[in-house]
Amino acid sequence: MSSMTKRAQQRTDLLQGTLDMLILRTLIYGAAHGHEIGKHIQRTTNDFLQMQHGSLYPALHRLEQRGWVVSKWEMAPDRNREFKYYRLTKKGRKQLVVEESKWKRMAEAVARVMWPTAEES
Amino acid sequence: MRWWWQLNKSEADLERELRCDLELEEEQQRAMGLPPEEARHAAQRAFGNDVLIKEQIREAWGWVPFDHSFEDLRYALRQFRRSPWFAFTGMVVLAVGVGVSVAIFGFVDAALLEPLPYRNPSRLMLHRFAACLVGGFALVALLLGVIGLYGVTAYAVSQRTREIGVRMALGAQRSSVYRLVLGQAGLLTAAGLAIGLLCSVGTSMLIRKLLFSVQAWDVATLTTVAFVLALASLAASLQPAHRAASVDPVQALRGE
Repeated sequence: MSSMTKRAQQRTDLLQGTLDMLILRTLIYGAAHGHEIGKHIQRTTNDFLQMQHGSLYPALHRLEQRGWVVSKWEMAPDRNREFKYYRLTKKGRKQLVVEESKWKRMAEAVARVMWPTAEES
Repeated sequence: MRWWWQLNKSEADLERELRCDLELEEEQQRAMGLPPEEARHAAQRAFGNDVLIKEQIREAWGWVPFDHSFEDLRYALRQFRRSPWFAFTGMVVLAVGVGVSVAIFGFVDAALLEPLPYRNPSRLMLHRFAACLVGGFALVALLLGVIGLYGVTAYAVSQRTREIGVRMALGAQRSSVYRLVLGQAGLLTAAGLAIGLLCSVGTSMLIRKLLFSVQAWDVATLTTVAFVLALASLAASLQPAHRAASVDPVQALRGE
């Protein structure tokens, strides 16, 4: 049983890092609240990534804890209500670059195994 | 008290954040043409288990270990209140162990390690032998204290097998069972050490009146004994904790 939980842990870790990157990237466009971030990722990926709020909010709070985003209650421009808006910090921007290059390396490595080019094989 | 206030504020904030976003989701579902009742259910489905979400967010805040040890400590205190004799026995055993060891070590330190204020120290062989003997007693006292703690903890675990079984059946992790048992033993040790150290300082003061060159406040001895005893009692409570963590819930629930 413990090996199963460990495997599940590894899987969520991988997804977690990716989710962090997606959230940071989404916030490049400006401040957004949790719901908007989720909807944006869902819409941009044509509903391929169904945003599970269960992982979105813990991720947001984790990013805030690390100082990559800051949050503030602000009035929504289109409706008369306050939402908790998250905004990218300078540290967060740097982290986004790091995450992006990490992801790229990972994708390249996977691609090399999956679709070997003529000269390499 | 400030962290408590901060915690409450963060909790309220989190509650508000989740509620606001849930309401927005509900609104959007309604805008898509769902009747109000169904829109609410759909929004809640899309949101997922909010208790779980909150738990994970608290984990992200990094307060959970702190939170859990606080709970464990409170639970241990409640256990002591429920069975004061158990706690009393454990504490007294430890306290006596500490007190005796500190007093004797203090004496040995003065007689054995420091140059004695005699003209011809080599004639004091007998004294040294006696000191070694007394030091041996101190070690025995320490050992007895540790064995006492082991016995008390092991007894507590055997009494609570069923309770631990229920906890595990309900999903308690092995690590939390470890923490439960070790927390209780740790609290006992801390209390025992505190009482023992207080008593030993008192005893040393008494001895000081009878014997020369024994210090009442020998910080080195006090810390050494406290450290050794703390370490030894951790070791002594590890085995019962391990046994508690390997309780088979089915067996524990079927027993009795």
